[in-house]
Amino acid sequence: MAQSESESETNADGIEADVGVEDEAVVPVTPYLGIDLDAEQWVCRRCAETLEDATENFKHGLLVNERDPEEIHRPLIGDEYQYTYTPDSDWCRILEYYCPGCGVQVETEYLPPGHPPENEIQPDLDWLRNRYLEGEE
Amino acid sequence: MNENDTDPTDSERTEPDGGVAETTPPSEKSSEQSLEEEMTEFLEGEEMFEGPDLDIMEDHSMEPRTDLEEAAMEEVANDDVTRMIVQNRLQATANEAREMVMHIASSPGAKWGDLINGIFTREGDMAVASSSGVLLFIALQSQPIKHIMKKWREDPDYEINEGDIFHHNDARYGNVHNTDQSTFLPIFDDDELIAWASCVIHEGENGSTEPGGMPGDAESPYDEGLKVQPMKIGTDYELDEELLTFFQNSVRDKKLVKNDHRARLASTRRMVERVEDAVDQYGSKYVVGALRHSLESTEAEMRNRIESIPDGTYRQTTFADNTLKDDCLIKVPCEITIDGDELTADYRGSAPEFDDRANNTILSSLKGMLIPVFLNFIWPDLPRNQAIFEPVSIEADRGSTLHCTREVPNAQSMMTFFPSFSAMEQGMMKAMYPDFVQDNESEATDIHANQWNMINGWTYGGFTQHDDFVGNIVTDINTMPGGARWNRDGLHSQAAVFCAMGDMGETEHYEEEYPFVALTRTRLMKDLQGFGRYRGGHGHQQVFTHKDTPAWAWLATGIGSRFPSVNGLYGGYASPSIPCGRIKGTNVFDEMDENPEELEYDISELMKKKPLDGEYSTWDLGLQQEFAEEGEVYWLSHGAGGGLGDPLERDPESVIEEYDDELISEWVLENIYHVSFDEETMLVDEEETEERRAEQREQRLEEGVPFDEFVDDWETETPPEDIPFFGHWNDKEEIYAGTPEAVMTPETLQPVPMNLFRAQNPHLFDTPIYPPKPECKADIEDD
Repeated sequence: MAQSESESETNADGIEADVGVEDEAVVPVTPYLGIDLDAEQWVCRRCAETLEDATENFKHGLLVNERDPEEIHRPLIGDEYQYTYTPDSDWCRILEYYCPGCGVQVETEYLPPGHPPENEIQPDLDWLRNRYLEGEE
Repeated sequence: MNENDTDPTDSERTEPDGGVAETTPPSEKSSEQSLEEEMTEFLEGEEMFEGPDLDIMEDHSMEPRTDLEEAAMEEVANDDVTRMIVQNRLQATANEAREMVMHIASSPGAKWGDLINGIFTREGDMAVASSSGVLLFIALQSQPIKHIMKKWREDPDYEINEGDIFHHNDARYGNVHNTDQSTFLPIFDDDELIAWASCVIHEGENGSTEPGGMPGDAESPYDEGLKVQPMKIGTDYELDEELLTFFQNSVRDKKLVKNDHRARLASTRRMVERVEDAVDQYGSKYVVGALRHSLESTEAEMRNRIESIPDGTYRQTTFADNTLKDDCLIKVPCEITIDGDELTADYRGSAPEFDDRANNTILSSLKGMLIPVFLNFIWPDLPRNQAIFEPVSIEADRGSTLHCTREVPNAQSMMTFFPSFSAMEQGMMKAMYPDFVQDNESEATDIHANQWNMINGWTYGGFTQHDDFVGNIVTDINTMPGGARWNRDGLHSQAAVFCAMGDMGETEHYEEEYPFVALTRTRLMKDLQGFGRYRGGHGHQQVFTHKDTPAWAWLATGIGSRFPSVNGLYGGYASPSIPCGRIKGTNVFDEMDENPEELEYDISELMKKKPLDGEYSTWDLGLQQEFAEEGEVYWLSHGAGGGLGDPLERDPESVIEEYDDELISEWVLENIYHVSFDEETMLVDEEETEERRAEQREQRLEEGVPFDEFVDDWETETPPEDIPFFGHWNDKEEIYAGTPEAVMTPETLQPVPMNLFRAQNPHLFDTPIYPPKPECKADIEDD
C-alpha cells in the first residue's frame, strides 16, 4: 500500500483528527479507545468516559447491540434466492459495541449465535508506561 | 539411502566444492553379530518411501552460516558499496527473469503476474525474491531445495551438477498446492555449488479430478492430479523428454506443460548466467556474502520493528463457511503475542483436518501465506526474503486443518489459509496502532481493515474454439478490493492478498484464446461495500457465458457466502457475504440478437428483472465443475474490503459523491450513513445530517445493553446444534467436530470424513453435496 501524501510524522490526521481527549497519560490503543496509565483504565478517546480496568477486556465497559445482518447488509439481488449477499441470519450475528458516554461505535464483531465475544486487545501496561510515560526506547 | 548406510569404499566422498564430505565411518560388523542386530540394521537402513522430511517442513528458520558464508561475510564486511552493488544486481536478476517469463510462458497465471523468481543460498534459504510476484510461492521453494540438498548429503550416488534441472509441485514438500510448479537450478562457481535460482508459476491444469488445477471436488490426495516431489528432470540444461512426456500424459493441457517447463527453464537459466557474470566480475564471496548479508540484516531490522510494537496479546478470529462442498463453519482463531523482538501467532483450536475435503493446509503453506502480511501490507520496504520470519513463531494443532497430515487433500488450502492471513492481518493492526499513531518507530505503512481475501474468478475447463483442451483460471482472482485505511477509503479491485502486482488481464486477449464472452467484467457493484468512516473497496462483477465449443464447464472457488470471510475494524463493517449464480436453460446470444435493449449487464438488475427466459439460481462460492450449454450465464463478484471506523463519522460529501456515482443506494445513504441532502443540487444539509447522526447515537445508547448483561443472555456453552461447527468454542482444549457432542482434544484430533458426517447428520445441511450437473450433450468427435 502506498504511503499517504497527507501522512504526518505522528500520523495524527485521518481518524485521529477527531480525538477529543488530550491527556499524556492516555495512550491511544484504537481510534476510540485509550488506556489511562495513571488510573489503569480503558477510556473513550472521544468523550473521556472511563470504561473498564485496563487489565480486563475493554468490552466489559461498553454497550452491545445485537443486529440481524439483514439490517446492515441488505439483499442485493432481491430476497428470493438462497444466497443474496446478505449473511445468513441463522449463522451470523453482528455485535455493535458503543461507548456508553457518547454512543460512538467502537467495534463490530461478526459471530455465530452464542459464540463468546473475543478479548481482542490486551497490551502490556508496563511496556506502554515505560515507552510512553518514561520515554524508554 | 541414509547417511549411515555408506559403502566402505565410499567413505570419503568428494563434494562439488572439491572438499571432502563428512561421512559416517562404515559399520564395523562383528562376525558374532546376532541375527536380531542384523535384522534391525537391515530394516533401519531400508527406506521404503522418501517422504517429506518433517525437520525441513516444520522448521522455517535459516540455516547456520556455512564456512563459505563465514569467509564471504568477512570479505564483504569491509566494502559495503560493492556488497550493495552485488545485492542490487541480484535483485535486478530476479526482476529480469520474472519479466522474461511473463512474456514467454503460456499459463494465464504467468501472463498476469501469478509467478515469481528468486535466488537462494546454497543451503536453500530464500534470499532474493523478484520485486513483484507471489511471495509465498518463492518462500515455500526453500523446502524443496533443502530436500535436494539433504538427499545429496545422504546419498553418495546422488549428484548435483551444473546444468541439472530440478522441478516439483507437491505441497507436502513445500508449496501452496500442486497447480503451482517450480523449476530450480544450482549455480556453481567452477566446481563449487554457491546458490540456487528458482521460478514458480501458477500453471493451472495439473490432471486433477476437475480441470484447472484447483479441484474443490477432490476427496483424497490422489484426486488432486500430478504431484511431483523435488526431483531432477534434466541435465546439461536439457529437459528429459521422457519425463516431459510423462508429465504431459498426466494432465489435460499438454501444450501448456511443455511450453511452461521450457519457459521456467529459460528464466532460471538467465538467472544462473547473470549470477555467474556477477561472480566473474566481483568474485563468488561477494555473491555469497550479499545473499547472506541480506538475510541477516533483514532479520535484525525485523526484530527492531517488532520491538517497537507494544508487548501484549492481540486476537482476531475469522470463520470459513464452507469446505467448497459443504456449508459449515470452520473457526480460524489467531492470537498474536508480542514479546520484545519476537512474535508468536497461535492458531491452536482450529478445526480438525477434513479427511475427504481439499481445504486442508500444510503448516508450511500457512507460514508462507503469512509472509505477505509483513512484506505486502506492513513493511513492503523490507528486503523480500525469508529472514523476516526468523523472529516469528507459528503454532497450530498437528492434525488440524491448519496443520494437516500428508494423507488428506490440500489442493484448496487457500480456503483455510486465506482466512488465517486475514486474521493475522487485522490482529497485527490492533497490535501496531499505539506506535503507528504516535511516533511510528516500527515504520509501518498503514493501518487498515481486511483486504478481501478470496480468489473470486472463474475457473474453466473444456475445448477452445481452436480445438485445444484447456483447464485454467481467469485472472480476476488478482483484483481483490482493498480494506479501508486509517485516513482514507480502500481501493476498488486492488490486488490479490498474495500478489501485490498481479493483473486481471485483458478481456479481448482471453476471448481470443478461449470460447467465453465476458458480458460484464469491469463494473463495480452498488452497495457491495464494507461500510465505515472509511469504506472498504468494492469488488467487480464477472458475468460470463460461452460459445463455439463442444464442451465447456465452469468452477468457482471461495468461502464467505453465508458468513463474511473478512472483517471490519474499529467500528467499520465487514464485507457482505458473496454468492455466485447462474441462469440455466437460456441462450443469451439469442436475446442479444432479438432484444438487445432488454438485456441487463449488472448482476443485481439481471437477477431482479430476469430479462432472459431460464432458471435463475444462486450458489455458494464452492461450485464444482458444472457443464454449461452455449449461452447460459454464470456470474460472481469479488467481495468488499472491510470498513474502518464508525460509519456515522463518514464525510457526508463522500457519501453523496458515491450515491451520485451509483456506488451506494439511497437505502445505504439513509440507513447506514444517515446523510441529508438536497436532491436537486446534491448538496449536503450539514445541520440536518448532524442532527440525524446525533439521534442515531442517542438511539444506540437506548438500544445498547451493558456487556456483562448481554453476555449472560448471549453466550452458550457449546456451538449451536443446527450449524455444523468445527473448531473450539471457548476452550482450545475442546475442539468440536461438527456437533456439540463430537468433541476432540488437540492430542486426539482425528480427520473428519465429511461424506460420512453428512450421511449421519443430513439435518445440518440444506444444500446438496453437488450442484446439479446436467449431462453434457456435446458431440465430441474423435481426433
